[in-house]
Amino acid sequence: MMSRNAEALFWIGRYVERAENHARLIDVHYHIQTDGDYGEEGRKWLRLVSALGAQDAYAERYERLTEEGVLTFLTLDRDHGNSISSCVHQARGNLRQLRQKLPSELWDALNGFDLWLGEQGVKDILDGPHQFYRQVKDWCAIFLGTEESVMIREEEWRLLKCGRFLERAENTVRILRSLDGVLGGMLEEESGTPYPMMQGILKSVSGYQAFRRYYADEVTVPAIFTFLLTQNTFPRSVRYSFHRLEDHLAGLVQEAPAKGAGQERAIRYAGKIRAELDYLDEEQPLEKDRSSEQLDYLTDACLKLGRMIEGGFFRLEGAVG
Amino acid sequence: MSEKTSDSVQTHYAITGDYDEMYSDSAAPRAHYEAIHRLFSRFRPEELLARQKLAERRMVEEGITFTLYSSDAGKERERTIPFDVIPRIIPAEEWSVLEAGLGQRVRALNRFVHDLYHEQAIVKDGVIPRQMIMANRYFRPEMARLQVPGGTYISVAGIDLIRHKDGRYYVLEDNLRCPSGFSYLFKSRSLMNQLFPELAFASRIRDVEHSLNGFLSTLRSLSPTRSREPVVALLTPGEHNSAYYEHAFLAQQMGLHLVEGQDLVARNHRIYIRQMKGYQQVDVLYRRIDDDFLDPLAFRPDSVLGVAGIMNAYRAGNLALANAPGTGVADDKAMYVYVPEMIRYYLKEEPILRNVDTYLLSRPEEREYVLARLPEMVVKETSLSGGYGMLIGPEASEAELTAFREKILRRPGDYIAQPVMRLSRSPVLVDGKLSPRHVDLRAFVLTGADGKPQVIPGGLTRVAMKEGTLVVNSSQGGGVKDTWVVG
Amino acid sequence: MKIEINHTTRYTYPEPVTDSVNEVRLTPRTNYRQSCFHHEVQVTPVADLMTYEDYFGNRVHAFSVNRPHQELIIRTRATVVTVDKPQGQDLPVLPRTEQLALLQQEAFRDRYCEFLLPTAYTESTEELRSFAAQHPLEEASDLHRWASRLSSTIYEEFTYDPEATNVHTTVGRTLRLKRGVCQDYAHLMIAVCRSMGVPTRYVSGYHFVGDLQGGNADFEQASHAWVEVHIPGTGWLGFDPTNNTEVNWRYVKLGHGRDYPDIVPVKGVYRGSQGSLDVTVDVRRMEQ
Repeated sequence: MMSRNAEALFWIGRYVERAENHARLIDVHYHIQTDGDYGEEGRKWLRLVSALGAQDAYAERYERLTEEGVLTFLTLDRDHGNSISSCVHQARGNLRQLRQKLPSELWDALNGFDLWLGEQGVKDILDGPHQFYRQVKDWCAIFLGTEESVMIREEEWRLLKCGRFLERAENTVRILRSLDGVLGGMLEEESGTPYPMMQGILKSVSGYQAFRRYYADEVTVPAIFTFLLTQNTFPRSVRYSFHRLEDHLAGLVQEAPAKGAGQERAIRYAGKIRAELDYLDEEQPLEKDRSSEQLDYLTDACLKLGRMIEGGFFRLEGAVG
Repeated sequence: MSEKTSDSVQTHYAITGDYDEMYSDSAAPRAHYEAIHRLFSRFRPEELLARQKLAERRMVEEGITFTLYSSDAGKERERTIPFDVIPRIIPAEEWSVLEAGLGQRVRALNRFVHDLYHEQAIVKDGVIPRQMIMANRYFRPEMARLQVPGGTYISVAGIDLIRHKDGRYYVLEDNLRCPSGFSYLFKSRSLMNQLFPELAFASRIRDVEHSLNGFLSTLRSLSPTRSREPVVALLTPGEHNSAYYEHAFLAQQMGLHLVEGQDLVARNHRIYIRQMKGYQQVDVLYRRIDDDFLDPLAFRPDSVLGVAGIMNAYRAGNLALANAPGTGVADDKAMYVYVPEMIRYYLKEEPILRNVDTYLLSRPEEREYVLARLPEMVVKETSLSGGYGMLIGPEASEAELTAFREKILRRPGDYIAQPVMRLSRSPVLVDGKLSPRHVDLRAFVLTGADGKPQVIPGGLTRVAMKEGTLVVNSSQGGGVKDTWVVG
Repeated sequence: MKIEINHTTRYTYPEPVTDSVNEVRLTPRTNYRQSCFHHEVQVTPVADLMTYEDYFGNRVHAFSVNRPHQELIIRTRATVVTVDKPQGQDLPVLPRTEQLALLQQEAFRDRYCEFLLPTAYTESTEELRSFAAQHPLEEASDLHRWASRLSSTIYEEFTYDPEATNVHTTVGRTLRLKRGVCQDYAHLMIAVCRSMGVPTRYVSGYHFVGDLQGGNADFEQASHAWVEVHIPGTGWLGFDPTNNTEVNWRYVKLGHGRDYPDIVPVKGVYRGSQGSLDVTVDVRRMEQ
């Protein structure tokens, strides 16, 4: 497969997963309400935009921090490259180049998603944010389901998966990070961990039932952190994502990795992070003061691995053929 | 007007003096159209309408589209091309003459391109003025003395033929750079087979599917390497190009790698595809981008569509290009005049196909003749000029004629003139009824390293879908028909 | 005269670049005024050189460097012997009327047509034609002298100014600026000659001036450009409007073409960020 097509597939995986994660993240933020939020209207929305690292881009285009502005920006704004609508549209553009080589159902699913998003306005979101983002997640699920049920298990499929799981790992870390500060403050108050909020977070990653199975009574911050980072049976955990990522990367080079192209290095690095997460599980790592250090490390690891995959699989400049 | 009560399909046009492909002057179907005429007569108009609709739907579903450019960047519109279900039929004995003539023409043109980049014997012998070659903007000094596989420069040619009201075929122009239209030809046939399976049984229609194999063999034959299976790639400008559908179609049908410039890299005078698992050397590049954009090192430095180093890989004998750069000199409107001479000069044969009478306005006596009859003439710009201006005398206003007259006098070498040619007509189905439209024929000639041209049976019939007009280009609302060589 | 040339072109990039594909036209030609008996091209990082002669007979070396690199150096060294006597001395000269008649002849115009046609750089504009009108062909006693006078006029009316123009400057702009460098002077002279039907071509090469600078070794030298005018009945003669001279033993010719793009001495395309360029040219006379 040509590098350009491989990269396009990888990014379809990433974009669709990113759209889904954004929908989840926005949903989480609806459940976070701190005391300070009551005094200052924009604070809550600033937190959401900052969680996606988009505060500067937002400030360039919108005057005030309002619910309407932020939701438009993060969801529908095609001029913002990371809005849900942009992600889906870019994924569709990538898929268009490959249409002839992939099952048509895949195109129908993504094209339908893109068309639907194109018809939505901010009013549709404000009328029922929870319903709206649920629909976004449903569309993502349709795409994932199609991908699972119709694609042959070859390079194309693996590339989609690589993109998806790298993005998922990165985003689960991001969700935890965005909560880290807020929750950290609450931890100090000891008693101040509001149960409904914790429940909301878990639900937003569809992890509530799963969590309850492992930690029956203990809805505490460290427990949630441990669960989302290391629970290997939970498909949105960071550890699970790295396991799959390592598998799929290795699957891509089953015959022989291109020499000198850094493919083996990328696989080894994914394996290293995966092993560290395996080890974390046994270590009970998450004393409160170490969590942010941990999250920084994983954020960095995801970025680094992304670059390694790009260099090893998609950009063989100067490599020996 | 001809009305037969037994026919539910009616011919809605009087015979006007233009040649009609289907009907003779007495409004009776010509012999080779009789079977088709009978069959179509049995269909009820609503049945035909339904099939026409079905054809259109299939086109949309299969994404058989071309892109209409718009001045508003990024606002290109995807369109399906109008498809008409009444086939255009060419009897076998007529076709065999065309086939021989087309092959002859392309053989001579190939010899000419080789000559112009080597000895220029045709110039030295005084047949063609050197200036007509050197001043042509498609002349590529980079091609001088370069050895191309099999001496074949024009592997893929599209020759446009028309039938004038005298009933004779004429070559209207040669397209020797990146001719397009193959996908419509193959798709027209498969649509017809789906829509009217009964027709296929009614006549002995020359197969075209097989020509895709011929196309692939032609490309493979150019490969400079004998040591392994040749790697053949189709170089497209990308999905925003108007002919992208065709590029994807041909790549898929022939199993070529569909590549863009960014997928290629030059290393040690070889061209490679950037594959995820490493570099793969390309042996033959069927490029669907213009010379100018092919290689920013050799041609336009600002091109991002091609890849630097293609020309040197070609020169080193590590790559074949179809077509070779610099073939545009031979399809220039002024050079067209000399094609019959080329046939006599290189092949020592008499031309089988006719050219349209063409006046070179650089020649004083021809200029005088044309200027005296400007309202009856079609004036076209040659590739010595930069523009795409054209004057259709009978349709031009007094002011337009005056303006063009001045342009001609200022730079006579930039123009040629031809008498207005009446394209023949062929019936198309409009609202379930037959209606006449003007048609031409783009014939495709493929030539591999052995230098023997193969002509795809029939070719692409292009239809001016607007009643009365002579413009068949798809960008101006032209449509297509399936073309049958029968018998 | 025996002349040695050392020419180094060095590109440096802030970040590693890849897939650099290049062509150089840096080989001195051998003709009746000069013979090149030694020439070498060296590329670092090491690259496989392919060589060919282009349409105009210029020697080209092509190479690619694909591995990531932050520096690309092209070194050429050549030894050339140039003829001491003035140009045209042993060549036939036709009377003026015959020269002018030849210029009008269809066969002559056909033969040299590529050097008679305007190019993107040498367009024949209204301004150009009025500039050219200062030197009507009809008033010339001889075409050689005419070309020489034209060269002097350009030298006198224009100011040498490396800041005023760049490699993309066309004759139209040079005429408005009244300034430029050797490339602009050459294009201007070409445009004037061609507008009057005199075949003219662009020449790239080196000009030995070491001894004219009081032995100052730091004097910066570079590649040079001038023109060759076809004098009917005589042949191609060289004129340097930048220095107001005719070509002599100090000139070493690399190549010729219709205009600058035909003879670009060093060109390349690569992937990566913008780099910086450093060129050193050392032209010296060798002890006989």
